[in-house]
Amino acid sequence: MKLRKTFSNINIPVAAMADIAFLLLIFLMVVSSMDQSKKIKINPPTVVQTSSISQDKVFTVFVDKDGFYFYKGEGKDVSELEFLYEKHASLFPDAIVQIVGDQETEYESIDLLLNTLRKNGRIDVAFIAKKQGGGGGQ
Amino acid sequence: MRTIKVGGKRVSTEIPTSSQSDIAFLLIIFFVITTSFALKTGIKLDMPKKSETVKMVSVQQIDKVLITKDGYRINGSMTPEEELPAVLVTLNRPNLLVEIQKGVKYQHVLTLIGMIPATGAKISIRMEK
Repeated sequence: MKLRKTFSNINIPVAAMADIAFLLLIFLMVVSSMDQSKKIKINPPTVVQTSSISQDKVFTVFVDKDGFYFYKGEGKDVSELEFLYEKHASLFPDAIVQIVGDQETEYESIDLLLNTLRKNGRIDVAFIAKKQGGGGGQ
Repeated sequence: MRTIKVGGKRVSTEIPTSSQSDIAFLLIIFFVITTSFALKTGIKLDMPKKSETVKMVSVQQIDKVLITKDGYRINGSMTPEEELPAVLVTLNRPNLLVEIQKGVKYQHVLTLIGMIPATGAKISIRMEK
């Protein structure tokens, strides 16, 4: 018996592809945040053991190797940071002070910052560091 | 397809959108490559209020670590960095006082603080005046 061959056009609908792509794009743009440590050039210290730090409600201060403080990409002095932290802590009482310092930063600058921030109450501090031997960190 | 007459010729009025998905995917690839995940590993500490009442602790209950530019001194004896974990584990007092001299790098302080959780001691950090 001879079967009759039928030919038809098989097309995959691609009209919605652009919508999917733009939705993905918008999602990525919304969930991304700028990595300010690259702008400020900071090489975090390495330690034997690290734990993961929730990025929720953190008050992040960058301290470069010359001891200058940066908050949200802008240079600040300690008194400005104290005021900003008070504002942040009033909004988020369980806020964490996250310090991103350079390996070469003198500890004195970090100590001055911590002593200023804990004038008005105890603080939870997280020192950002990379795990020795790669993995984790940035 | 809608058309209009321009200079005697029929021209389509629709905007070509066939390359829109290519543009979108190129933008996605760009963002995927340039995006990096936020920093999220480190050491957590709970620091008391600066003016909190000072707690008196007997000297016999304190182990002392002094961090100088030259290295670490545990209870007075110089300890090389690679021997720190082994020596810290042998300390059996419940409190550890970390004194830091001026000019010490942040890396050296974190190297020590990162090893302390293994000892289970309560730590106090003090900058030498």
